[in-house]
Formats: sequence, structure tokens, C-alpha cells
Amino acid sequence: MIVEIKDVVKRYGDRIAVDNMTMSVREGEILGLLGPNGAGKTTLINSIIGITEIHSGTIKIFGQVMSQNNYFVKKNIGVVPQNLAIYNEFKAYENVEYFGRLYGLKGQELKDSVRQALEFTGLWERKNDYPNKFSGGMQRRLNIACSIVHKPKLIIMDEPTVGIDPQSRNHILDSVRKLNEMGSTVIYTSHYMEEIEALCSRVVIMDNGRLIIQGTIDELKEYIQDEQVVDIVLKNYNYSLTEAVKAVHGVKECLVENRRMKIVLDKSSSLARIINTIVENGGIITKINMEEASLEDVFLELTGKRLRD
Amino acid sequence: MKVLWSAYYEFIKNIRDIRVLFVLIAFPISIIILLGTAFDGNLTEDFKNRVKSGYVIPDNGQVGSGVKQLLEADDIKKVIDSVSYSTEVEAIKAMDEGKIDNYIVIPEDTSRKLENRQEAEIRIEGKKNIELVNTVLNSYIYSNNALSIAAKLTENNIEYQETNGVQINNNNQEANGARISNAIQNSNDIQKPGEIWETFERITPADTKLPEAIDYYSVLTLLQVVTMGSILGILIVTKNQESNIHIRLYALPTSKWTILWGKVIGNSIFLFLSCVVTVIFTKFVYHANWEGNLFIIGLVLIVLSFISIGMGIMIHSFTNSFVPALGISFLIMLFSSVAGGAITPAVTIQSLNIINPIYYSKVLIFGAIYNYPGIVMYKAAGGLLAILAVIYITSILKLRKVNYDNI
Repeated sequence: MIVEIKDVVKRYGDRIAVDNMTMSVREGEILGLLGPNGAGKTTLINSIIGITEIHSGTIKIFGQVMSQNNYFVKKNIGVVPQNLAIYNEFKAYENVEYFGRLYGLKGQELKDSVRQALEFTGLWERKNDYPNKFSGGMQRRLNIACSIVHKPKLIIMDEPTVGIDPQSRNHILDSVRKLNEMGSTVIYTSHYMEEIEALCSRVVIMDNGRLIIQGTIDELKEYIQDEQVVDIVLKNYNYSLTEAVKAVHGVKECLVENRRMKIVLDKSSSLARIINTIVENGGIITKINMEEASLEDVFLELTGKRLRD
Repeated sequence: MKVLWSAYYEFIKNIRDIRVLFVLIAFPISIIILLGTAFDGNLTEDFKNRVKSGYVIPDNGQVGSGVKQLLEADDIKKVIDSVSYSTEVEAIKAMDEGKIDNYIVIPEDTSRKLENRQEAEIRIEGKKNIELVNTVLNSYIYSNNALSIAAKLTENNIEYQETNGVQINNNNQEANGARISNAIQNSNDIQKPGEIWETFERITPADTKLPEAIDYYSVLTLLQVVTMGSILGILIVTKNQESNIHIRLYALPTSKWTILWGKVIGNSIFLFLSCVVTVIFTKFVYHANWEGNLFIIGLVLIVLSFISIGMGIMIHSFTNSFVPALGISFLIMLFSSVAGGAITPAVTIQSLNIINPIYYSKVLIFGAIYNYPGIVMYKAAGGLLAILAVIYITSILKLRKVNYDNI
């Protein structure tokens, strides 16, 4: 394990921001940290980095207890903060160079690293421009370049794609994949579940500072696969149809809107029986769609609310 | 090494920040342009009328008559509006009634003592504005001494020893006051009685270096500029709400003190160089008098720059918030400027000056230009360094526990 978090508690006054959190990050994986705004993701990230002091529990990175003065660990971590962390008074090159120097790089190694970081993020051609001349997406990429200049083993990205155009988002997602392929372990926080689904091999879901569930995406989906959602479009509709479907064994819920029937049923129940019931009660089916569970469904199931609530 | 890089980048950041450039360079130069134009090189009526000094000079020798001649000269009258009193009691009464701010005393036997190569003294007693009178008298006395020394060295080629000094006389029951002691001693009996006075008589008031309005306000505006630098100090430790730069800085494998000291050094050097721009501007555009010991002037400005940056950090460490820190910083700048004589030399809050870096800096810079006695300079330097130490020790103690800020 590259990161081990055990029984971590962080309070702000009476409010518990991280509540008895235990999780781990395996070497070489992209771990998605998923949760709505205020779930405690950033507090947990800040605790991992050592910025925020935890009240109890332990955080170990590379086998060492993390603290503000653990420079060995810090030297091997790259942090991409949620908001931009670049200086508008410095050119793109100077920004990356400045942080490279503070990570202890110098001479030719520094020059090469700065160039590689800027090329990696597609900003080498704009190295002499000031960030305030950049688009939001390019600023985000520069933010990443400053975080990877020292080639960290562990990269922590706190919602790096907030508020940017789709093209830049795709560029960043590709960059994360490449960094992972190059050997970096990545902790990626987001409340965009499609990003997490596209990127991450494993997911941790948080809400109200607590760990809700962790596992691979398939494992999480499997967790809620004891029920399925069927979407049936009808040519005609009458109220007795709803009552008849609800009476079928295993049907948990049946909602109708504009001749579109959404049925939530147990995995064990029979779809054929539902179709027969509809036909027997005079219903004419024009379309049937079986919905696959998404991370959003997982989250909804586990927390009772949507990610962007 | 990281400290120096941090300082370098901080300096570059300030150079490129148009807001900082405006506040610390364009704004003070604008103020000096306004003041320079308004005064046209001369002191205002308000300026000269407010500095009212008396003199009690029973000494009819060459010292007494020389100083009387000095005080009655037209050029000096522009600076000090002096009135003669026959006794100290009358002068004290006039001071109590508010007619004068201070008075000069030259005892009856001063000239005779000096002729006999004994120590003699010229005193200034008063509640306020003693600095200006100090400046004029010191400059005058030093001009005499310098000529005398030069005469001795060239004529006799013998080492000439001089002792002199100023003491703040806090034991004076009437008021806090200043005490100037000047003595000229010859280590040998080479000097003949009266010889020194030959050079003394050759001195005219026109030879005495006197600050004109632009000279005075150039120094004081400059000192205000430096104190405005406390804004930079506040910004060092203020978390930028729109940016996560503090997270990135804390995530670095670098001590917060490394980054903090780098920022302090970078900002202080920037502040110092903004002072140099102001000095050059006032010297070449308004011909302000900066003809003094440039090393001392530079040293004072760099120390004051560090004090100012440290002051901002210290204030913020107590308030933990930008706006209150800015407000307190502004108030401190205002009071220290007024007390130090930045608005008008006549309005001073003497008691506040004990902890006023502007006051000590003013004394040191004027001292470097107008040849203040050594003891005055040492005391002012001591005061300035003590303030520097207190500010940084307090800031370090307060910041020890801060672990999540924009350092």
C-alpha cells in the first residue's frame, strides 16, 4: 500500500469533517475519491498532504507516518489543488521553474524537468506567456505542470477539471492516464462520476466525512445490482396498468409519466411476468429499455442523494 | 539557497505587480511632486511660524554672538522663529504659555571655557520641535568644528581629538528635553587661545547646511513609503481566497520558515529599491539634499524596510485577517508619520517616538546628511534595531503555531 489511512478524525469546532476514515491506496492505481460538495474530500486530501492536522488516527505514506516536516514523503508527492495555485506575475515557464527549485531541482535537471512538464501538459509553445493570458483549461494544465515537475510517485488531484471546457477536460483526463502509465499512483477526487468511471480502477465514496463504500467500479455496481430499473414506453395507458404491475411479485416501485413507465424491481423478479401483466391488462408496449446501474445510482442508493445536490 | 530563490521570485513578483508598483513608487513620487510644486523649494508659512524657539544667551563671547547671529539670520528665520529672553525663567514661562516650543541656552562662561580648552555646552530645553533646532545648531557647530579641525590638521599636522554628544534629558522636571554638549579638546597644547575662533568667525549662516522643505519632505515621504510596505508584509501571511497557492507551498518539501524568510527578504529588497527610486527622483528632479553618508542612509532604509515588512507580518499574526490588519497598519503608519514629523515638523507626539521607527530613521538620515553627533546616531540606531528585534521575535513566536496560511 502506498497510502494507509486508519481511523482518521478531523474536526472543525463541533463539526466533524472527516469521521473515523479508514482507506488505502495501492501502488500504481488511480483511486477515485467520490463525494458531493462538503463530503470531506478536500479535508481528507489536506490531511494526507500534511497541511491539516488530524485529531486522531494515522496516515502513512510510503510506509512513513505523514507529518508537516516529513520532507522525504513530501518530495515524492505532487499536489494539484482544487483552485489554481499559480502566480499570474510569473510566465508559465517561471511558474514551473519556481516550484521545481523549491522541490530541490537545479541545473540541467531543472531545465529538463520544466520542459518535460510543460510539454506533457501541452504548454511548451506558450512557455513565455503569463497565465492571465491563458484560457481556464490552460491555466488548469499549468496548475498540473507545477505539480508534476519533480516527477512525484504519488499525485493527488483535487477536482482538477472544475469549470473548464470539454477539450481541456479530455486533455487533463488523458494526462492523468499517461501519468499513471508512467508509474505514478494517482488519487483523483471529483464529483463528476463519469470522470471517475472513465479513469479510476478503484473508487472510494465519501459523504458527511464518512467512508460509504470502497471497491472497484464493478464491485460497487454489483453491490446495488440486487435491483434493476426497466423503462417501458406504452402506446396506451390506464391507471389499472400501474396497479397491476405493482402487484407483481418483486416490483418495488412503478412510476408513470407521459406513457413512460419506470419500474424498479428485485433482481430475482421476472421481467417476462411484468410484460405479460401489461399485455393482459390491455397495454401495448412500443419500447423496453433495461438501465444499467451507474456510479450515480450507487451513490444515490447508498446516500439517498445525488452527487451534485 | 531556497531562501534566496524564494526571495528572488518574490522580488520579481512585486516588480511585475502593477498595484504594488503604484502604491510604493508612483504614489509617493506623486506626493513629492505635489509637495515640491506646492512649496517651490521653500518652507511654508505654517512651517516656519509653528517652529517657535527662544534663546537665552548670556554669553557675550564669540560662541554666544555667533549663535545669536545664526538665529537672527534670514535663512534661519525661515526655519526657526526665535525670540530672545534674558533669563531661563522667562523662557520657561513663555514655553508654558505656549509662546515657544523650546529654547536654547548658552551659559555665560561658554566662550571662556572653550578658550581655556574646557568642555562647554549648549542646551536645548523644550517639549517639542527640538529636532529641527537640533539640526540647525548641530549643523552649525559641526561646520565650525570641521573647519577648526581642518585648520589644525593642515597647519599643525597634529592629531586632533573631538568629543561631543547629545543626551536626552528625561530628568528635567520642566519637560523632556534635549541636551547638546559640544566640546573641543586639543590633545596637546598646540592650539593657542582664540585660534579656533578665527575659524569660527569665518563661518557665516550661509555655510550652515539647512533643510529646505523639499529636503525635509523628501526624507519624510520616503519614510512613509517604507512604512506603507507593511502591506507587503500583511500579504505575505494572508491567505489568498481565490488561489490555493498556500496548499502548494505547504505541500513543498521545504520549511515554512525558508519560504517566509525568502519572502521577507524579497519584499524588503523591493521596498528598499523603491526607496532608491524615490531618492533618485527627489535628488535629480527637485534637487533635494541627499549629500550625506550614503552608506548610513542606505542601511537605515534597508533596516526600516525589514521593520515595515515584519510589522505587517506581526500585525496579521495578531488579527488573522487581512482587512483589520490593513486598518491597523494604516493607523500605525499615520500616527508614526505624524509623531515622526512627516506632516509638519511642528506637530510631534514626543512620547510616541520612543517606539517610532520613522522617528529613529528620520534622526539617522538627517544625522547622516546634517552631521548629527555620534551619540544621537548611536541612540537612534539602537532604537531602530531594538524595534526590529522586537517585531521579528514577536512575529516568530506568533507564527510558530500557524500551519495553514499563505506563507
